[in-house]
Amino acid sequence: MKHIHAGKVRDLYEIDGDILLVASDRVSVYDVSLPTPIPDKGALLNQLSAWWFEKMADVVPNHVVSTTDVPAEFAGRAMRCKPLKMIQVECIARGYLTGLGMREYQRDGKVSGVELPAGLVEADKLPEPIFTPTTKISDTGHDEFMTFADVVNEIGQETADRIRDLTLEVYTKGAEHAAKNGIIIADTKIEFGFDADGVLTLGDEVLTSDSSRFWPADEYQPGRTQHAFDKQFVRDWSTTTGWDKTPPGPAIPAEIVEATRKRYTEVYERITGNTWIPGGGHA
Amino acid sequence: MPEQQVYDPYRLIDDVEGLLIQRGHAPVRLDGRTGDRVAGASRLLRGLGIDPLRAPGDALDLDGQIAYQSRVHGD
Repeated sequence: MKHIHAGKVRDLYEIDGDILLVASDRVSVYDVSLPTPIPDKGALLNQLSAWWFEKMADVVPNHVVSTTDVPAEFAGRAMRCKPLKMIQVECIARGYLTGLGMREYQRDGKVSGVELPAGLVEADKLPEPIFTPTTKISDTGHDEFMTFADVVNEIGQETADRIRDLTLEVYTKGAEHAAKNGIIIADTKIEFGFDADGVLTLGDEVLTSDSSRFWPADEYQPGRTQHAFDKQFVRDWSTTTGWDKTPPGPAIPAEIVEATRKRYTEVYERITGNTWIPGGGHA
Repeated sequence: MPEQQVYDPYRLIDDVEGLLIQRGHAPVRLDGRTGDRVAGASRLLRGLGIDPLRAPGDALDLDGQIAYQSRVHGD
């Protein structure tokens, strides 16, 4: 097994021709990795992602080889995957208007070239989900929204059409399922690549709370900023510490760790319908 | 069927920038033109029979999708 890359919250290994994505319990806020882990976070996100991959299998093939045939030290928090040749477009679907999309809308009346109706407010639900691709980590350090025409220029019409349609289908199906369980998925980012046979394949992670924005449906109120379902305890607490949001981040108190772990667990249980067993499993 | 060849378009941009500097030019990566650079590199590769794709180690965001979170939500 060869360690290829260590990220702030996940690690990548190569193992017998496959790749191994290992999720850690590290948590980052405001772009800074905090020194205190959230127990089970890695396993919860890994298994949530695995659950979604299976649920979306009738929509698009995915890169998962196994979630159990992994080294014992990573059991529960690792996914063995096919190594894909990745498309260099970040595929984002949005069902709600928020964040930088809101700013773009206020300026231009559109997001990533998609015209939107007038009069929308922060966190409004869009008439229908929209595809708002971006460049991968920009070569200037500033990520940029792309229009669909830009995507066509980069990867060709056929592949561009397919990744747009698949992104919207994955988002729509996921958001509908989550909504039935009291969670709004405001938007999500997914990645595609081609497998060794040239088949367009869903890769990376899917519909986790790192790669998506989850809001509690019972607190949803358009016109104001919504709270993230799981990280909000850490975010709120960090703002009370006087921390300036630059490294190193502060240690997280035990009660905030526990509250955050409970929220991650609640997201997993609500979406999958499984009961989480602390320590890395489900019933 | 010939084996599929792939090359990372972002790496090609680095390569071309280095080549231009070697030849006495002073290329500047303009903000707001990443799409042009990546599209140009991708089209050049396709025109050479090489698919503009990336290895997982280069493509995947292992930092908690911070770029997505900050790009989409501004936090």
